[in-house]
Amino acid sequence: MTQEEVIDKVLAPEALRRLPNSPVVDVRWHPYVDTMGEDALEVMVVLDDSLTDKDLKWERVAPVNRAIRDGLLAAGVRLFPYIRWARQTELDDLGIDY
Amino acid sequence: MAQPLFRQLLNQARRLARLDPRRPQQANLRRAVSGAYYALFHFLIDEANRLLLGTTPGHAGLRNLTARAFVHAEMAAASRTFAGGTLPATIVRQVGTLTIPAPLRELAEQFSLTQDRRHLADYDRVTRFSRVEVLLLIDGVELALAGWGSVRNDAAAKLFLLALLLWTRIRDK
Repeated sequence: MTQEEVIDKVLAPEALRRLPNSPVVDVRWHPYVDTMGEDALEVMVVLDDSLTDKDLKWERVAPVNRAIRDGLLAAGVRLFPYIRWARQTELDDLGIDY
Repeated sequence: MAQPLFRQLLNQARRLARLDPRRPQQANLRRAVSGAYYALFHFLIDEANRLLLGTTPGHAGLRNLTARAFVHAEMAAASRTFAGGTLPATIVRQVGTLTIPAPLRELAEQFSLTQDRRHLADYDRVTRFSRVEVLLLIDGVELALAGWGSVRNDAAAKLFLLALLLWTRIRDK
């Protein structure tokens, strides 16, 4: 299995949607070179549009954050994941195409 | 009595992120990201100074002087290692095997993430932030700081604070 396939498997939205009270709708990622010049990953977690800012506290997304970080490490992926969060409507408004 | 600088910065970041209820201005979100990073930056420097120089008022000048010696890139490099959960063999040889407790790992992750986002917020004109991303970043910093109290006396946490100042000079020894 290539590293890309391993990352796809760890970041599969289906698995992250199954976490308790998961706000996840979709997960997208791409290779990223961070501001230190290190190879890394940028992961965009797309959140349920029906959730308000008040619904989306860190406690709500922390299990998703943990599952991504621990899953990548357990799969031997040493690339640091820079995890971003947005609702699809926000991505559309901001013209962010992931 | 005034709140510590890190607390003021974090509160300011939250206020900025909540401005403009309908359509947040990118300038406000960018300053909020930057403020959240600097809250964490100054908090960790305060903690490192406390470890190195104590808290007596007579040493305030020394603490202020030492605070200027911390380098963003060095702090980030140390944080990336601690976030990975494993210390280099060169460090283990000197200090023995240390387990990095979860709250320390989370703090190191948050520092790595927030510093990178701060660079983008301050310098990259292409990156755009959503409000929820910025609010979650601030929340993440807040919880990482809250978790610090449970590990601050742990040997790995003390090593982390030293590493923030000395990482490039100790990691390969």
